Amino acid sequence: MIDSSNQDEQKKTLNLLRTAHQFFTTLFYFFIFLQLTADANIIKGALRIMKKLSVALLCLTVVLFVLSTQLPQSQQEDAHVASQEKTSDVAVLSSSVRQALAAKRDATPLGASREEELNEAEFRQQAYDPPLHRPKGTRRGNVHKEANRMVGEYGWVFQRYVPSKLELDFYDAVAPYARSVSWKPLIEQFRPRIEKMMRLSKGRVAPHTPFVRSDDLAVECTHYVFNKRRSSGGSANETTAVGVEPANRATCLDSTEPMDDDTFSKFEYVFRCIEEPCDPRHLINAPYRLGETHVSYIEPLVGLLRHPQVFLDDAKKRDYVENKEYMIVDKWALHHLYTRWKHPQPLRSHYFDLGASMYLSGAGGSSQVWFVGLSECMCVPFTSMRLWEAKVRPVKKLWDDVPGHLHPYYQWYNHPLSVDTRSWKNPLNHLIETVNPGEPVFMKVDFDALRLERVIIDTILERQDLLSGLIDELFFEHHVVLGGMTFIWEAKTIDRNATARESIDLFVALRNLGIRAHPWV
Amino acid sequence: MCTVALVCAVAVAVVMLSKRDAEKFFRVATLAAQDEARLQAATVAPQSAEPVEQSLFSVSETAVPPRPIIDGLTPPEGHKLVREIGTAPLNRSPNSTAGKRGDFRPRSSRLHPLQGVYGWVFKRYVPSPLESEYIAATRAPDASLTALRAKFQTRLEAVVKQSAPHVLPRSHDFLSRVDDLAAACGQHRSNADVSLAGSCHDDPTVMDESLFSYFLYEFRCIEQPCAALPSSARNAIGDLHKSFIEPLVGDLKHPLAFLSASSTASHGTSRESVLIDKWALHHLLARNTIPVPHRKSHYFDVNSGVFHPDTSKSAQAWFIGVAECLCIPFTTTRLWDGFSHRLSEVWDVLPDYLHPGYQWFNFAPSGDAYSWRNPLNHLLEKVNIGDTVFVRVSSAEGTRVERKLMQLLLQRLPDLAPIIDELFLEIPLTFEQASTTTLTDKVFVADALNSFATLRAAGIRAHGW
Repeated sequence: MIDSSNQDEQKKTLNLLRTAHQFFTTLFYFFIFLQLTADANIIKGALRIMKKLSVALLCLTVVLFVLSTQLPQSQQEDAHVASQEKTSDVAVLSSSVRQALAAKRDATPLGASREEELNEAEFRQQAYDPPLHRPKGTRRGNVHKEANRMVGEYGWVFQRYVPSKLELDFYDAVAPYARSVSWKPLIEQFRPRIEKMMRLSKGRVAPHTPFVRSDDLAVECTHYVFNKRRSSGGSANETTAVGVEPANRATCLDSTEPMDDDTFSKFEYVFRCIEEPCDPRHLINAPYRLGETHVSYIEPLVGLLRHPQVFLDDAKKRDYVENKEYMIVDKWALHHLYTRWKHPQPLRSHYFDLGASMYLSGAGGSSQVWFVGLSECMCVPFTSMRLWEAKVRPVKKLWDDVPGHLHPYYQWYNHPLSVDTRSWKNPLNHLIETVNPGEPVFMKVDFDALRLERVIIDTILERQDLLSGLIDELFFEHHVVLGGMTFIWEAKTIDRNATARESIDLFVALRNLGIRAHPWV
Repeated sequence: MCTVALVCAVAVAVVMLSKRDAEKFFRVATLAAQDEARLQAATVAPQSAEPVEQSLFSVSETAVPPRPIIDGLTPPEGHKLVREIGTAPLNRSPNSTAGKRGDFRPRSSRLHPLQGVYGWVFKRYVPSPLESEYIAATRAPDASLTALRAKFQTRLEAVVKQSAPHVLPRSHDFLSRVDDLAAACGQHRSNADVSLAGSCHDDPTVMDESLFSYFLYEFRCIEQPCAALPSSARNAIGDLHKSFIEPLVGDLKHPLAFLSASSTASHGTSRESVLIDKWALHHLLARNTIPVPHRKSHYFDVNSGVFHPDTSKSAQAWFIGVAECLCIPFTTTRLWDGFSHRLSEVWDVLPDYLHPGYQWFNFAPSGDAYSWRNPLNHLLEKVNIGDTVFVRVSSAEGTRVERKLMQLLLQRLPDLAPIIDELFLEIPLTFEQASTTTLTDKVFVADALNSFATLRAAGIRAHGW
C-alpha cells in the first residue's frame, strides 16, 4: 500500500509551490508595472534594482511553474497505484470466493455435468456476471450455455515446453549471484553461448524499430496464408525437423536457418483430436497425420531477461535496455494451432495492452505501434485492440496519433484497470468474454504496479479452466532483484522477495501452460 | 547569477515567440489546405454550380439520382496521408481488391457468406395510402402546417391509437429487468421459429394497411446457387411476410407533436411512435439458423452524449434496454460525441457489463467519405451480413454531420442497406419549401420524407428521431 503520510506531504508541497508561484508572478507583474509607469528621473537608482529583481523573479516563477507541473504527474501515478492497490485488496477477498467456487466445482466430477447442475436462477444471474466470477457461464448475446466449439475438431495442440540446455545451465549458475550486484564471472561464463544465441537468432527475432507497413505486405500475407500455409503439411519432415517450414520463406520474419536445440528453448505441438469425440473420417483430406509433431522455438530465459547486450555489455546497457530485438514470436503457431490450420485465415486477432500509454509514445518506447507492426508482419493484423491506461491522456492527441484505419478496432479505456475477478474492469474478463477459442491473442502486461501485475499473472496461472488456450503471446516485465537492472528500476517497483530464479520460474510456469511468455522491456 | 537569469528570460521569450509562430504557420497551412480542397472540388465537378446541399434531399422514390460530387470524397491535399494508410471503405473504388482488416483472401475467393442458403429476403417497401397522400400534400403549392394538420388529424390520431400496443415505451426500466429478460429471451431463442411471445415486445400481426406502411419479405435462396430446399424446412419457397412500420407523416416525430403545438413538449422527443421489427431482427436472411455465438448485434450512435441510467433522459440507455428487450443485446456499442466529457462522466455511470463492448470515440464524427472518423466507414468495416444493426444519428448544432451521413447513405445504398436494420435519423425540418435550396440548417419536410422513403425502399427501416 502507498504510504498515506507521504501522499499528504506531497500534497502540501504542491500547494506551497503553487502559492509561491502565484505570489512571485504577481510581484513580477507589479515590478513591471512600476517600471512602466514610474518617472525614470525621480527613481533612477530604484529602477535599476527593480529591473534586476524582475529578471530574477521571472526565473523563479519559471522554475516554480515547472516544479508544480511535474509534481502532479508523480502524484497522479501514485494515485493510480493507490487505486490499483485498493482493488487488489478486493482481489484478495475474492480469492475466498474463488475457493468457494473451486470447492463447488470440485464437488462435481466433470465440467459438462457442472454446467447442467446450475439451476435456472443461477444461470440467469450469471448472464451478467463477469466471466471470471462464474464457474462456467454464457456470453453477452448468447443466453444459451455455450458449447465448446472445439469439440469434434482435429488440430494442433500444445504438448510441452522444453527449456534449452543454455536456459537450464543459466538457471543453475545464477543461483549464487541472485542477490549480488556484480555478475561479472557469470557474464564471462556465458558470454560465448549468449553471443552464439544472438548470432543464430538474427532474422528470427522481431526487430526493435517499429515495422513499417508496406503495400506488399498484403500480397505477402495472401501468399503466406493461402499458397504456402495450406500446403505446409505436405512435407511433414520439414515441419518437425527444424521448426521452420517453407511457407514462411517469402514473408516477414521468415528465416529458414535451423535453430540450435542446446541454445533455444522450444514448444512442442501435436496434431490430435482437440476435444473428444472426434470422427476420424474428417481426417481423410487433412494435410497432417494424427500424432504428427511440430517444434517452435523461443528465446531462452537467460541473462537479465532483456536484450542479451544488456547482460553482456555494461557500456551498451542503456542503449539496449528498451531494445525488443530478442523476442521470437511464433508465426507458425499463430496460423496453425487448434483449428487455425484449416480455416482460410483467422479473421479476428486480439491485442490486450495493460498499461498502454499512447500510440506513439510511452515509458518503454512506442510499444503500441510496434505491436501493430508485428501483428501485420505475422499476417494476423489486430482486429481488436483493447487498451487500458490509468493516467488521464489528452483525447485529441490520442485520436490524432492513432492511424485512421485502426479506429474501428481501437478500444481505449482511459481509467485504471481492476484485478478483481468480480469486476468488468478486469481485462481478463474482457478476454474471456470477447475472444473465441482459436483466435490469436497478444497481451502486454506492463503498468508498473508491482502487486497488481502479479495478480493478473497469477489469475492467468490459476484460472486455466477459463483461460486455457486463449493467450498466444504474453509480454510481461517482471521487476525482481536483478543486479544489472538497478540503474533503471526504482527501488519501490522491485519485488524484493524475488530474484532472477523466481522470475525464470514464473515465465517457465506460463510457458508450461502453452503461453509463449516473453520478458518485456 | 544575472547571466543565468538573462538566459532564462531569453529562453522563455524564444519559446513564447516560436509557439506563436508555429500556431500562425499551422493556421495558414490549414487555410491553404482548405482552399486547395475547395479548388480541387471545383475542378472535379465544374458542372455542379449549385451547392451540394441543394440536391441533398431531392430524391425520387424509386431511384437515387446520380451525384457528380460527394462532399469530402477526396481528401484535402496532405490530409494526414502519412497516417491514413488504409483507405476507408466508403472511399474505395468499386474494383478495389481491399477487404476488411485481416482479410487476405483474394477477391475471387471472397464468396457471399450466405451463398447456397435459404432465408428471408427483403422484397419491397409498400407505403400506405396515408403516407403517399401526405407526402403529395406537403408538396402542394398551398400547403401549410395548419392545413396539413386539419386534413390529416383524424387519421394521425388513428395511427397513434393503433400503434400504442406495439411501440416501445419512451420511459421504461428495461435495464433492471435484464435477468427476467435473459430468461424470456432464452425461451424465445429456443423457439425462435415458432413464436415471439414471452419476451417483452410482440410484433403486430395485423394492422390497418390504409394507415401503416409495411415491408414485404420473401423466403427464397439468398444467393445462388442453392440446393433443393429440404422437405423438413419450416417455410416454402415464395412464402411472404409483412412487417408493419409507422407511416412517414407529420414532421417525422410523434404524430401528436405535429398535430398540436401545445403538446410538442410532451411528445416532441417521444420514441412512442416508432415500430421496431422484432421478427426481422430474428428471421431476416438466415438469422434463425446462424449459431448464436456467431451472431453479433451492433449499435452505432452518432452525437451520442453520455450514458444516463434513466431511459427517458438517455437515448443510449433506451436503445440498450430496447435491444435487451428484443433479445438482441448489443455486443458492440460505438459512440461518437464531439463535446469534451470527463472520463468519470463516461465510465462511472455505465453499467459494468457493457464495458467490453463499449467503444467510445470522444471526437466529432465526420461526414466525409474518405475519413475513418466517419461512422459509416466503421459500419462497413466491422459489420458482417447477418449481424443486427441499429444506427442512431442525432443532429449536433452547426455540424450538419447528419445531413452528410444521409447523403452518403443515399449514395451508397447498395453497400449499406443490406447491413442496416433500424435507422433513427434526426433531421431538423421545416415546412418552408424554399429552405432546402438555401443553406439553412433545416430541410424541407417533403424532401426529407422522400429521402426516408428511398431508404425504406432499399430495405432499411428508417425512422425519424
